[in-house]
Amino acid sequence: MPEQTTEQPAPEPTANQVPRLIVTWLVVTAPLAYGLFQTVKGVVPLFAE
Amino acid sequence: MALSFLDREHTVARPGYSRWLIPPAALAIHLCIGQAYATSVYKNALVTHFESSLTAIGVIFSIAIVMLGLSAAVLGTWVERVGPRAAMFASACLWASGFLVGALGIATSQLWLVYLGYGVIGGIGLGIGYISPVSTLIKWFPDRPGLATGMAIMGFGGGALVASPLSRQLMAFYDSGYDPADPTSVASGSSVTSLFVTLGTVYFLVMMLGVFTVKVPPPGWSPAGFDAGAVAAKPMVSTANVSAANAIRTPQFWLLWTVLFCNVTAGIGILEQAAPMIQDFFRDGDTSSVAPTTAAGFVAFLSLFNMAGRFVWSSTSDYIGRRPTYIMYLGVGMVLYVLLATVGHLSTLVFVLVAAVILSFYGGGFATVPAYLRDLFGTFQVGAIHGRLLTAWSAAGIAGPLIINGFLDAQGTPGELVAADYRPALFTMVGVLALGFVANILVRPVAERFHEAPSRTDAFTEGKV
Repeated sequence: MPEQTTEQPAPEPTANQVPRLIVTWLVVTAPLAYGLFQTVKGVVPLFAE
Repeated sequence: MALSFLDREHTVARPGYSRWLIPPAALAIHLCIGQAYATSVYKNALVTHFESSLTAIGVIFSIAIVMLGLSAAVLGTWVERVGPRAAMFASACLWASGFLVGALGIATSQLWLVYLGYGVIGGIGLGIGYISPVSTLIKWFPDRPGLATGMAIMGFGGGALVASPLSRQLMAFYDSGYDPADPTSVASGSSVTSLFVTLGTVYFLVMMLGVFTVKVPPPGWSPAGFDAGAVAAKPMVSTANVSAANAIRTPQFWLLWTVLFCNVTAGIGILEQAAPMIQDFFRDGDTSSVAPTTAAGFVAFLSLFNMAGRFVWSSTSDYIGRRPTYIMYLGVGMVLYVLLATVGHLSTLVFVLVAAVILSFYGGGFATVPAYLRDLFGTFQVGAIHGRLLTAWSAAGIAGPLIINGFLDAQGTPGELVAADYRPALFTMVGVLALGFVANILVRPVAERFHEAPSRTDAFTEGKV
């Protein structure tokens, strides 16, 4: 039976993750910001009276 | 195999993978499925298109929410076994297919196809999607589980905030005769068909971002500086693990079920009637001092607090503990409901602020419960246990409107009532919250006989059982 070896995976390069972090957070925060802006616009009449 | 990238073993993160990539992956799913709370935007268009009633169209949403609860409860263990990537992929396929089958139903004027598509197929996608990132987030953020799940579940609230204005603008784009600024304007059926196709396609792509980004931490991983002993030393936090099958045999599960049921029922009491309620509270004879546009602004204000409460209160629970947080939701909630019933009619500002805080507790209750489950049952099958607990949401979705509408129907028609007519319903909600308050006080750590042996939890995590 061949001997089993435990391979340690190579670490994730930190530099590669920065653009990925920016893009993923942008994809979710941009629509959220749009939704918040539209909702706040809808709230204005409540305090305009 | 082409889909082998979905396997749990292919989603194990390499050392150094940033855990801050996981919240946007979870948000990508929850922002999309949160559209379920924006169905009122095209409700009138579907009523006109199908020459049907509001009730018949409302059934589409009801089926989706029932399927959410059922699929989360039944498929929770499968989600835990296959891992977050496969579950998110299944959710994306089902949610997008639901829209496409629904679009076919609208295009061919077959309402049953909309029930099947958006309601059944999309509803299953909702349930799988809702629970898919929960246990992964908790494993990546053992030091801040409330913050992590709060972010994701805030996304569900945020999804409706995005989908409502976006749907109106898309319907106006597809139907030049539709004016989103005019409440009496109704979009054509064909514009809703195009809207469904667009949403299905866009949501599928955004959810794929979550699919390709999510990863599970390697076995034994913990964040730098994390002291597991300090967390376990907190009262009501267990390091032991309980399976989903055993969890439902514990009194703790059913006490938490009652807590969630009562908190959601009380919140729905306000959400259900928010617009006519504020007008009725400030009615003098036949006229209300609150205009319909102001009432709509009130509803939007509540949705902001519903969303913010999910993040703020759930994050706060990491510091003050889960049980004290629910003591606040339910105890302070009771006081606020009494204030609303007794002095709410004296000032619009008081009414609006009290209702907003109540709705923040409603949202907070949803977002804090996964971390509460983690504290009691461990991380082993927390997603599956969460799925089973969501049946409380489905039950509250029936009980809340039944209670509030039952009382109000006995008084007259909402929109033509006065503040005093709401008191029986509001005081009933105080009683509902009191029941939840007692259930929360009774929660104790889970008995040792329900704990899993470490060898079994390790084997499950590695996909061997």
